[in-house]
Order: sequence, then structure tokens, then C-alpha cells
Amino acid sequence: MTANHFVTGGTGFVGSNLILELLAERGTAVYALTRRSSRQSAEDRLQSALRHAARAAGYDDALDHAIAERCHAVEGDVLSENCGVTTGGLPRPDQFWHVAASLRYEERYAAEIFRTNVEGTRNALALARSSGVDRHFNYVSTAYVSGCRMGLIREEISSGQTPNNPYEASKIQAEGLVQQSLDLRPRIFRPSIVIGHSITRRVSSGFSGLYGFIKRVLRLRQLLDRIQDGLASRAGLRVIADPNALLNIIPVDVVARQLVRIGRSGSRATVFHITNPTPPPAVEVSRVIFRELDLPQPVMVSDSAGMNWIEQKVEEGLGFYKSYFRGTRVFERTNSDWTLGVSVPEPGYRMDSATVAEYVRWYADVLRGTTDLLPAAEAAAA
Amino acid sequence: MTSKIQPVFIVGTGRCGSTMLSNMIRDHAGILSLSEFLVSVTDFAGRTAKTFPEGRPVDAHHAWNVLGGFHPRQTAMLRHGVEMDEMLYPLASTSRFNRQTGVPAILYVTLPHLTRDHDALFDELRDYVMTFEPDLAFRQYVRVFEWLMARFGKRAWVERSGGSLRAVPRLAKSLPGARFIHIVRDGRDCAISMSKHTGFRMMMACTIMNQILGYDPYETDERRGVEELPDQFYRLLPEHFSGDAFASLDAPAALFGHYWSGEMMRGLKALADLPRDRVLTIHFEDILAEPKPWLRRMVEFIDPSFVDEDWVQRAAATIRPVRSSWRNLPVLEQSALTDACAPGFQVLSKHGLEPDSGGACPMPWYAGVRQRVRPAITLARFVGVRAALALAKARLGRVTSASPSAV
Repeated sequence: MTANHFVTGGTGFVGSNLILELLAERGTAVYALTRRSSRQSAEDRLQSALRHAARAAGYDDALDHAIAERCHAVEGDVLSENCGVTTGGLPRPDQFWHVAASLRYEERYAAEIFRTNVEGTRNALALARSSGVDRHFNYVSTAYVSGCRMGLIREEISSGQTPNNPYEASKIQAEGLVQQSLDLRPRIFRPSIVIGHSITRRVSSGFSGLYGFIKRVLRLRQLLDRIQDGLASRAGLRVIADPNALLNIIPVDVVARQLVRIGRSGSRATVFHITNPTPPPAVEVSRVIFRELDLPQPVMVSDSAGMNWIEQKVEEGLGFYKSYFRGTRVFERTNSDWTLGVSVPEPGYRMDSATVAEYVRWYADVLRGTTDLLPAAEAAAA
Repeated sequence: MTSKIQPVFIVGTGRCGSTMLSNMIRDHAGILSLSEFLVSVTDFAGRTAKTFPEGRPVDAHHAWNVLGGFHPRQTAMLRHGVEMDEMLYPLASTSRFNRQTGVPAILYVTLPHLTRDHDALFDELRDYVMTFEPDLAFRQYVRVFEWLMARFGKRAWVERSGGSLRAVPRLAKSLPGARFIHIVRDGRDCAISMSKHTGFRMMMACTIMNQILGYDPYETDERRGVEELPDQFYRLLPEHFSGDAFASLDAPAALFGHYWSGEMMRGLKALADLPRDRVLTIHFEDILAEPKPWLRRMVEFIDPSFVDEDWVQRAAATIRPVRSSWRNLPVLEQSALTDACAPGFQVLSKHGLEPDSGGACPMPWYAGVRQRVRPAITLARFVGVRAALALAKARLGRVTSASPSAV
């Protein structure tokens, strides 16, 4: 018997890997809400994104047949009412996966972020309802709905937390909408910082999270060197960091695998943390990043006292990513581990320095290939 | 090329007193003073590649688009009332060009610097440029310089654009006989002045934006990755630009101190590659202290036949005392600025280019030491004094062995 899944955000990083994982089971069909682009139809765009994700995940082209045969684009947009979809011709889905989201976090994009993440979730809930989803509405949220809270973060719908930015605020609101939709038997999945595939280390799209941080550091290096040759190598930077902070990074294939396994389970729990139970220290990860980008090791400090202008700008420039390095959060995984079972250890959790360096090196090479220093400008100004 | 006297460029890091030299030379009977040509036609260096297409001939239309075109950075600044102080084109309601129309590049400074009848000169120049056959870019611009030289009855031309020190390799390659007057000023005073100067602030903002985005938002409608721009730069995209956003740009003197050091390091390396008789280095502080010998030496370098005592007297009389100095800054800012300028001072010292007047470049004795032990002080807060002292000792060891003549 065919199990039908409806997925939003299927061309994104987590969404595409989720679809690959769903397709791994024979008899599964996936319908993915997809926008058309100016150059590609929705179907072409989806197929192309999935093939790209398959290569990044190390699949050979044998999977392409399954992608073409069992995955279908449904043209629409979470920003439209009912996602712009007429459900007449669609098979009734067993599970609905709402992954589409805006990963922006800047205040100036707040309206867009709320429109995509809150109104988009409202529209996805409406579509799930009208499509008559059989089992569950699965919402992929973020572990960082915890906002400024530190310490043990429980797998429960919480309230009263202070978000760090509009992204977190929008995800908190969206979780509220999902939680209230009891008729859809909702499940809320909260991945932490999702990184590349645990075997290939590669990412197919959506360089956010840790990759956004790496990119910022590289840009900083390039900018300093553009202002003065070798400045980046000479300027030892002070960066504010909590020495006890843990950076909860988890490979995308581990996330996708856990989503699908919990999705297929009979668990009655609502909230699941898809996080790394053994995260590396944030300070160690940042050391690896600086080393891989040929920068002098940063000096970790506890506050901004005495920082020079460059250091202050680095501090401001890190923006969203600063919260990764401040305070210690421990994400409870009781629901997830109970549902998944803990008999087999997950090798993807391992994040020693050498492993982290492999993830960073892959992306640093990508960046170096695409973001060379621009030609130095000549005459400046009077 | 018809000029028998080899071309001369006055180069510097910017905000180093070069405008003063342009104004003095304008008054010389034999020398055509070309002011801010490179800055204007390259639109604060943002259009360098368009102005000087590498190895490709430039036809008359291209040349005129460079010279008489409205360039995006200058136009944005003009529309929002933050144009450079050096701009000489009169923005009266009756003027041919205004804030809304924009002002053609060569009318910003270069032509009004030569004549009050700049609009008519602009039209004459266009008619001349439109006769050009395709040729390499620099040859076309030199034709313009020589046409202006003949038009004003001069025997030599001297181009001077602020911040053109970094253009030396290109200028030397394009005009193999070119000579350079390098004017040097204490980096700390340059940096303070740059941090207040709209041209330098715009240049720095565009440099940062281009580096973050990987493309120039003033030259394309592409907006990929703009979410990565910090707010203060996002507000300076052409579609968001405003006088208030520009005024609030955080670009302090210390940043420009680093920039000044970088320019000095790169510039002195380029000048050192040239024969010594093609470079004259002058310190701004020396001109202020004793103008006449230095002005005499400068025109003698351009051509010995230009030495004119009346001109020297008149030029020296135009010098005004400098109003601000880095020494007026609060101690902490002085210190940060001195740290930022240290690599520039070191490279000047290495090339034996301290000013005769003395006192302008040397840093306080403690600056170099503090720069090296600072990480240890920071470390002490985490690992304790003992480990930090060990680090400081190691650093100090390197200071004393590697920098016997700390500048």
C-alpha cells in the first residue's frame, strides 16, 4: 500500500533531505509544495533540488529514478491562502510535513519573516485540513524557540521565553498555531543547528546556521585584508564567548532519519528535540573555524570592555550567531530517544575537532571558490 | 604625445595635503593643474575597470561616457546633499546641472578648477573627444590632458587625485615615463580627516558592501545576499540611500588608520620599484614648517624651467595653519589610532622617509609594546597572571629583537 506524504519546503536543505529519507522506503510517494521560478517550472525546480541533494548526500544516480517516479511537485506557495492549492486532484496524505520557513532573522525583515513563518504555517494547516491528512501534521520548528532561556530546555510547549530575534519569535508563534490544531494530531520537531551530511560533510543548499557564521568570519578576513594587506593575519581578535557554551550541531541526514522514524512511530508525544546529545564546546568549534580560515586564534573574553573598533564590528557583525556562543543550553531528548530507542549509537553525533574541521573545510573550500577578493580599487577620494 | 615634459602625478593616501598642492599649481603660468580627474572618472574607484578596460581599445563614445557621464555613487551623494567638499561645480538653480540631474564626472572638480566658464569648456571638450579613433584608455585621457594644456597655454600637466597612491602601478605601466610626487602626512591626521570626509566614507562603505555581497550594488540591480549586509550598509544601497543614513555610518578614524597603513605599505612598494629620479617624496608637515624650499623643489622636479620665485612666494602665502590634529583626541583614541597607523609608520621608516621637520610620525615608545602584550593582558583574565606573564615575556622578546628602532 502506498504511503503518501505532503511536504512543504522540499527544495530547502532540511526538506530535500527529508524527502530523500521518505523515498528510501519503497511504496512511499511524496507530494511537495513548490514555487515555480522565473526560469523553471515547479516540477523541474523540485527534481533539480532533489537530485542535487542526493549527490550531496552521496547517493548515486540510482535514486534519481525514485525521485522522478515517486516525487511530484504541487505548484503553490505557503504565502497564499490554502497554499494556493486546490486539493481536488491530490491523494489524501498520510502525513503532512511543514518544513518551509524563512531563515532570515534580521529586524528589517521582520514582516517578511512573520508572513512566511506564521502566516505560512496558518496556510499550511489549512491545506493539511482541506487535504484530509490521515495521521499527523508534522511541523519542523527550531530548538532555538527557547530564545534567551539557558540550562535545561524541555521538550514541551513553553511560553514566556524572550526571543533573540524575529526568526525565533515567529517560530514561537507558529508553534502556538500548530499546537492548537489538535484535530490534525500535530507533532513539533525542533532541530538544533543543522549541518552537512554526516558521511560526505556536504550541504546541497541553504548555507545558514553554522555556515552563515563561517561565511561571516571569512568575509571579515577578506575585508580586513582588503583594507590592509595581511591585517587579518596580524590582528588577533577578541571575541565574547562563554567558555562553557555548547554548540548544538547535528548532521542533516541524522535529522531527516529521526524525523521520518518518529513520524512513522506511534508516539503520542507532541514535541521532539532533534538535537545532538553530545554537542562540542562552542569555543572549540570557533577555534577550528578560525584555523581553517587561516586566521589567528581568537582570544575569548567575557565582555566587550577594551575592545577596539574592529573587534566591536566583529561583535556586531556576528549578530544572530552571537547567541551560539553565549550561555549553555541542554536540550532534553526524552521524547525523541524514547521513540527512537537508544540501543544503536548514532555516529553522526560525534563532533570532535577533526570531524568539525572536515565540515568547515568543505564549506571553506566552496567559499574560496566563489568569493575571491574583489579587485582592489584604485584611486579613492580627495 | 606632444608634451616634451614627462607626465607628473601627485599621489598620496588621501587627506594628506595634496589638494593644497593642486591649488598652488593652478596658479603657475606653465603648468596645467588637473584636479581629481581619477577620482571623478572612476566614481570613487568603483568604476576603475570601466574607466581603464584592460588591453581593450576605447572608442569616442566610451571615452565620453567616462568623462561626461553621470556616475552612480557621485549622483547618489549629490541627490542627498553629501557631496565632497572639493566639488567645485556651482549647484545654483540656474545651473545647467543640479542635484536632480546629476553632474558629469569631469565637471565635478576638474574643469571648474581650471575656469569659471566650465560649461562651455565641457561642450568644447565633448566635440574634441567625439573625434577620437579607438585607442587604449590612458592614451585617450592623455589626449584630453594635452588638449586642455594647449587650450590653457601651458607646457606641462600635473594630475592630482586624492588617494591615488594605490593607482601608481597602473599609472606607471600605462605611462612608462610618468613621474610621481608622493605627498606624505602623518597617518593619524589623515585618518581623522578621512573619517569625516564624505568621499572617503563613501569609498569605505562601498568597499565593505562589495566585499560582503561579492558584487557592486551601485553597478547592478542584482541584490543576492543583501540580507547579509549589516543595517548601516543596507541603508546605503542606492535604493535606500539617504543623507541621514550616510551621516550615521560608523567609520571611525581607527578604521582609516588601518586603511592608511595598508595604502602606505602598498604604495611605497610600488614607488620603490621605479627609478629614484622618477619619484619625489614630500612631507606635508615639512611644507607647513618651511614651504618655500619644498615648493621650489617640487616645481624643479616637474621641470627645472618652471622654478619661478614669484610663484613660490605666492604659493607659500596661501598656506594656512592646520586646524585639527590627532594630538587633540582623547588619550584612548590617540592610542587606538597610533596602533592602527603603526604598520604605515614602520614602512615609511624602513624606506628612510621620515619628515625633516621631525615629530610627526614617531609613535609613543609604549605603543608597540602595548600592541604586543595586549593579548596576554586579556589572557590573564582567563588563565591567570603567570601564564599571561610568560606570553608577555615572549612577545617582548620579539619586540626587542625585531624592532630596534621602534617608530
